[in-house]
Amino acid sequence: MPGWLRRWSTERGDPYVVCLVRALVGGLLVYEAGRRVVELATFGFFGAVFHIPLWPEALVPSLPLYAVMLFVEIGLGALIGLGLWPREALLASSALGLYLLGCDRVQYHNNRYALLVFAFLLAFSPCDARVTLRRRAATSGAEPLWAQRLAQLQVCIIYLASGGSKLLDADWRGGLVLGDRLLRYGPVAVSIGVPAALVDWLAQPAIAEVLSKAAIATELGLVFALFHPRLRALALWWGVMFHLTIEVTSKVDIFTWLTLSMYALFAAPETRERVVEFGPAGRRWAKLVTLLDWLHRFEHRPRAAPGDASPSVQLVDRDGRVAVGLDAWVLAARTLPLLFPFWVPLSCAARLRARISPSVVARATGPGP
Amino acid sequence: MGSAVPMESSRPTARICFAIAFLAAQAWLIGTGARLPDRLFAFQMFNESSTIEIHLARRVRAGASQKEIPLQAGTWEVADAQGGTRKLRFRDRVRNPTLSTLDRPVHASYGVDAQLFRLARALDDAAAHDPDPELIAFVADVDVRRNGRPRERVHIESQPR
Repeated sequence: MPGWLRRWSTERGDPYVVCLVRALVGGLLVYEAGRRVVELATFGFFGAVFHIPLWPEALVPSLPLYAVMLFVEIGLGALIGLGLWPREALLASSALGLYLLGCDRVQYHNNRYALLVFAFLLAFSPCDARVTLRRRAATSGAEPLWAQRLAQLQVCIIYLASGGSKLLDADWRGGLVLGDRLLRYGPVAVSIGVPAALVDWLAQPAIAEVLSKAAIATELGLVFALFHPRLRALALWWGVMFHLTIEVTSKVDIFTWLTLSMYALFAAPETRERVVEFGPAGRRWAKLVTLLDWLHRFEHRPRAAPGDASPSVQLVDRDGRVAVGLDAWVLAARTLPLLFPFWVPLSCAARLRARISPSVVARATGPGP
Repeated sequence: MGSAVPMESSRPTARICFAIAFLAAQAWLIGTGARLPDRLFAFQMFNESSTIEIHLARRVRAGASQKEIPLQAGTWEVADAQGGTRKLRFRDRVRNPTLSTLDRPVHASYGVDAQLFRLARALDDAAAHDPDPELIAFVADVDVRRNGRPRERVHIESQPR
């Protein structure tokens, strides 16, 4: 058996992150099922009107059964979110959801299908170990990660399918699709404050072609970069910006939030490998880090020694490097999900400062006029 | 209390087999889905920026001949059992917002081919549920703009009754 295959199938680690993702998926499942309850109330039962089932018509549920199924889906989503028998609930939820998806292909959406596929994969992960109302029996703390890695691979499969289909489409490569989209929705963008000149510029055929190639390169590049250790953090940042841009400019239902939730799986499983050290004056900042430290990257270490001349708060990275000031902000942005979109700009600012700082210091300490 | 789903297998081989089966299923679904008109399970996001504008008519018997009667605001009238008429709406059977918006351009979600595939089936459904014995078929003339190209017209008819 190849070494990488053996490593993948036997790898163990801290399951906290996959448990957190499970809770998020539970929330999304509740939201999706709730939305279909609203659709049922607003538009009526799909089975009584035109629909195109994948299954034989006899397998399409009746209205009462469909309504029950929707509420069962909400219940399953709640169990998943709360960590109560989440693995069984994930399996049941994905099976029920896929069955209902097949009852009317007119209602098919990629984001719904993706959510159900991820729910299926997470059912095989140790996602019931933490972030749960129910205590599991004590374990070593290291759980199998193979299903989490498979879910990561599923993220890349989606990028490969989406980017690959665009690469094979001459209209997409040539910028026709994006150009037309920018032209048609330009007035909407202008009405919400985007400068008209910018919208017009973006819709130019040459610019649209460049943007199209960039979009294709992004999706296909992420397939590989997300699994490359040195490129992963940058790939995650670029992916976050890519999806946030799509979210702002298009209607994609839950897909942005589903993908960003799955991005958390790419964080290292080990938790509390970094430290936030703080004195009494830095307690508020430390609290802020606590609030935003959804992935449990930091251990908190208050400094009790009086008269300590150290900064009020400092972050210590995995390798022992101490970060204060702007460098601390860079480390915080790299590790705290809500600040992650600012990581690259802050990192660039820190590098720029490191370049100009020596000359500033030299001017300050050099010979006088 | 243990989970009913196996938490851990002492057999990495089982995990490898599971992964192979899962990936093979994904590859098959994506490959076949890409060839379907509505791209089911193929994860093709934003595949087109196209619009369709559906114009509907009903072809009915008129004595020895036939005539096509355009729908008015998506409605038509049929005789009822009491000798009067009642109004039917295309939207009564076809609830999908893209397919039931008539006589104005709408975004073709998942592409033109997906919407034409669904429309053809919708016309069959509407015809099958139309109580008018004189109905022969539903007829759609669809103005298609594929990715901003010049408009082209596609003609679709339901199965004749």
